[in-house]
Amino acid sequence: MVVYVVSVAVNLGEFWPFSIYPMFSQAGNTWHRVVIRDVSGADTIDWQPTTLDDLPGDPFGARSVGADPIDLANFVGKTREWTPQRIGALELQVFPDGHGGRSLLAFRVSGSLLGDSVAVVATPVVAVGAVGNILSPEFTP
Amino acid sequence: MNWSLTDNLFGFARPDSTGQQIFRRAVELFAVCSAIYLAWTWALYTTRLADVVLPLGIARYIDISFLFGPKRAPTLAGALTVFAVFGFLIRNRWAYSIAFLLLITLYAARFSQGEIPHSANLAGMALLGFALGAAFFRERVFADRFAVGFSYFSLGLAYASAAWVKLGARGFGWPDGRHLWMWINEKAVDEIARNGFVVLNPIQELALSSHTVATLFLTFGILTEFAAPLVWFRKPRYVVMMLVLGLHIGIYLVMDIIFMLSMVELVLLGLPWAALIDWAINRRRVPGSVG
Repeated sequence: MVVYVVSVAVNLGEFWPFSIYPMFSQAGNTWHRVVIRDVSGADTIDWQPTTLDDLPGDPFGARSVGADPIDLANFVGKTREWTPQRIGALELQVFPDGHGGRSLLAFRVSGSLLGDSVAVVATPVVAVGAVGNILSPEFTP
Repeated sequence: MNWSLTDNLFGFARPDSTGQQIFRRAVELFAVCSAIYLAWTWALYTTRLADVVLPLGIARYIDISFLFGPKRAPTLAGALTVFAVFGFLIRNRWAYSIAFLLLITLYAARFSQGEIPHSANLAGMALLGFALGAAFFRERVFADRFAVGFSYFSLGLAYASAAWVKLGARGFGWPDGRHLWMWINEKAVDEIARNGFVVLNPIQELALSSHTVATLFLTFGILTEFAAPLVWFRKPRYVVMMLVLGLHIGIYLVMDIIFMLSMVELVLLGLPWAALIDWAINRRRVPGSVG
């Protein structure tokens, strides 16, 4: 019990498999996830925020390349400084075997409570692949 | 009611039986197989990682990126497999402890990408229980009884701590159904990210259409978590274990989150297998009985 308490106390509540299990504790807070779209062939990238119903390009499933969408969500959501190394690491996750002429656009999707409904907004963050590694002007330092 | 935690969890002084021996061995097999499965799953995923986003656990103290690349994480998984199998076949005092340390290291490497999942916590605790049992008890029967009791203890503690953290963060308003709406939408986006599309099931539609239903779902969840420490006691243990299993089935149906290893462990620890095995053995011994 003492080991448990000390382990989680000095490790932000997590020292696997010890945990204070904070999952779901932040009920009602704004969340951030990621959705990736296949924008191969697009001439330009529109960096304006949009809704899930109006996403450009074609659907892209992370499962198709063996990537974990929650990893990608955290990768995109928690990155504060988009260094070339960080963009390259994202590219490796979504194109483990090279881009093969394809281009993908990662959206940061945010959900928040507005009264009795959930508002969801998708903001483009970074494009990788044949189009080149391009960071949204909003996230460019 | 017997309130002795030591007796309820470990029952060191209680008579042993064939059913209990088989049951303990089954729990040990689960811990070993889970550890090997997790080690290889995490190791193979780690081979494709290139940068640390969020250092977790031991990664806060060492640069865990040394495990990135094609060979190192799988080598650790291979070593873990050897120690875990060795510990299971030929009981050794430290084999499970080494396997556990290797598993912690692989966890820190695999989940350095920002995600902090709890899907493998119960399985990790089960392995830790057998590691501590083998390290501190000479006689196998005591070591294994400690390990199984440790699993019940950590299970009760884990769910109760989850409930208290929720209450601390949001107070009694935590079960507000709108919070469930947020999570359903969040998991729907995850599903789009995973497969490119999402189709909500009827239970999700029901929860989204009724604030009352959504609130009732969350209320059942947090009450079950608060009740989890009752698994420390023999009498209410199996009823509460089934409620916890029901909680996980509900989480799967409503939020599409499945903790498969935890559910297997809940079924393993949540039914009176030892008594059932003893009953079946005794039934076979009764002359003239069928089966």
